[in-house]
Amino acid sequence: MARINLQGISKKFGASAGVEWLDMQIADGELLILLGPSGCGKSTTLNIIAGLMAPASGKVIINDEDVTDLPPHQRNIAMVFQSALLYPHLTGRQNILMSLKRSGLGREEIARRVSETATILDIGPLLDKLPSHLSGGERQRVATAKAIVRQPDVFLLDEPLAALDAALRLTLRSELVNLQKRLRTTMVFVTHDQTEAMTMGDRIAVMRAGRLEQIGTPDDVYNRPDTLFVAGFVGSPPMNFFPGEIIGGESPRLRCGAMEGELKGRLATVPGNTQVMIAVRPQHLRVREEGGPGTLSATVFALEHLGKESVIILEMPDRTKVRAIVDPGVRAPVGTALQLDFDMEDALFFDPTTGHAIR
Amino acid sequence: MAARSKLWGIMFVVVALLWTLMPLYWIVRFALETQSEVSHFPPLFFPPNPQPGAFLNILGFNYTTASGILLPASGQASQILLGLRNSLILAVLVTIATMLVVVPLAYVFARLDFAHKGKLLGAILLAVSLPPVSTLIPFYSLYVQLNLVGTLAGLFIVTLTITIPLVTWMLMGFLKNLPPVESLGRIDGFSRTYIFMRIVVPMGKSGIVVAAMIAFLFSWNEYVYAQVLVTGSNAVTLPAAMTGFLFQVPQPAHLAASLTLTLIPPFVLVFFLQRHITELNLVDPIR
Repeated sequence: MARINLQGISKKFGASAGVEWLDMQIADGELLILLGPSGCGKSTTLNIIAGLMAPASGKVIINDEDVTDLPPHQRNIAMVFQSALLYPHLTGRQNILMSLKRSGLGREEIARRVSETATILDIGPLLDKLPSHLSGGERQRVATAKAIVRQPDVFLLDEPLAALDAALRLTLRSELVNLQKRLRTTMVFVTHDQTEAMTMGDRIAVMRAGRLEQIGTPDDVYNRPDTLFVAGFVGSPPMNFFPGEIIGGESPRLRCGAMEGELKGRLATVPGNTQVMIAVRPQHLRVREEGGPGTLSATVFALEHLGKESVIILEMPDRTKVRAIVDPGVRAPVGTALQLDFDMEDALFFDPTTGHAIR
Repeated sequence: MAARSKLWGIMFVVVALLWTLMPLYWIVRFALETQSEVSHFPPLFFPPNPQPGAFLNILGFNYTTASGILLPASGQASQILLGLRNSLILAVLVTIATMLVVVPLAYVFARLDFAHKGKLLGAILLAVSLPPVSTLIPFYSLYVQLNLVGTLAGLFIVTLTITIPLVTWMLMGFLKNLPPVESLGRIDGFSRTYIFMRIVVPMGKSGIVVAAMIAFLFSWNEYVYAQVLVTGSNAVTLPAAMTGFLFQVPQPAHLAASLTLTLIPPFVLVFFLQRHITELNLVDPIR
């Protein structure tokens, strides 16, 4: 049960920005995902919440208490590290016990908690094995047990699933969410995998180069990205970008290459002759063989079959790649010339220089 | 294809084994023969009447062979016994002192960041790369003034200048590969000292044991400084004592026997610690 409040957190590593002026509120019982490419500061943020790193400036507040100067174990947090780190020379049970060694709990209480945790995570048979004798998924479960046995206020996870194979990741992902919802513990989960973020998070905080780009529900981040970066990072296959231009006049219109469309009241505040970046999801692109006056031409670069649908990758005349989702039956040899277009209602607009959304 | 490369592999191993073991065998053979058997031409591949006379001689005992030849005790026996005692004391002390310094030192270099780390590391590497001979004369003139020539204490200090940098360098690489348990320990509420003493050291015990073994072997085998600093004194070590054979009536069997004697402690050590040597890949299997 904890709210976390980060106020103006900064931390630099040499020349590279670790985190810059980060403000973030995490609600009680929430599963917040810190999402971003490597080096974006998400792990740094997590380490600062944990107390493993001291911020250069700013405050970490947990439940209205300023914990910035408290060592990690006095913050009542638990952390699962990358690839489910455990003490390699200790058995599963000893690893779990290490979490309670400094807790000051009585012997019976400790034994009760360990067996209770082992039941919750179904790891009874793993307790007497060394981590090197456990599979990736089993290690993950033991590491999770080690974290929850403390009954922490906050649960911090640093890419715990990154080293596992895809099928296992899928299973463990839902197990973790299920556990978090049952225990109603605030959880901060760091990942660079946007699918993991979309499927697990109550809210997602997208970070880049030490800054928070956007924080919001998966729906917000996917459908209403605040910046070009978020639009390009979230979603698979990723969003497509086309340079365009707003033509002012009585009823403003948008031009994108040979395409032109009515804006129907959108972007009303933008003056004419403004360059914009148009972003369109792959499922909103229409690909066809013969074009008309208002279509864009492209050539087939590759076709990826996903079973229930296919992704066609097209090369635009300016060599940029565009991805569109097409029916699974579509056959398109590499090099074929195709036409594509989209509805203006499905497009999002961004300022090409600042990267901010224009709504 | 696979069978052929396997055959090459076996041949390579056989050649490597012969290369390593033949000289050892030759020494052991000498040690088990009498003077006349040693000087037989062509050389005898197997000792015709193997007997432990040479070993007893260098330890100060007479021995009469089955055919009635008396093999008298070696004049070097007292030096050998003294050398054996000194070498053991020195090697044990050097190993303990080295490990007390090196384990924390290597840990700090391997796992923590601090100012001027690179320069200090460079100093260690420099110490590793310096040939011992280059510091021999400075040490000698220093020791003359400090009255440390011919003392075990003097040899102890000099040997540490070899073992500490070398073993630090070796152990650092091992400790670097251990998983980042420090963060885990801090989350669990342990102090840095506790994490080092109760988590890192037990976790890294294989590497530490092997490092200790290397310190022991370096001290045990150290010859250059011993020859200059302690030969002829009460602090003589086994390698230095053995050179005494070179200045006497040639007794190849005695020399061979004392060489064999120096091989025994390292062999015993490696035999009992081989489990740790093979266990060195204790690192996280997933990383």
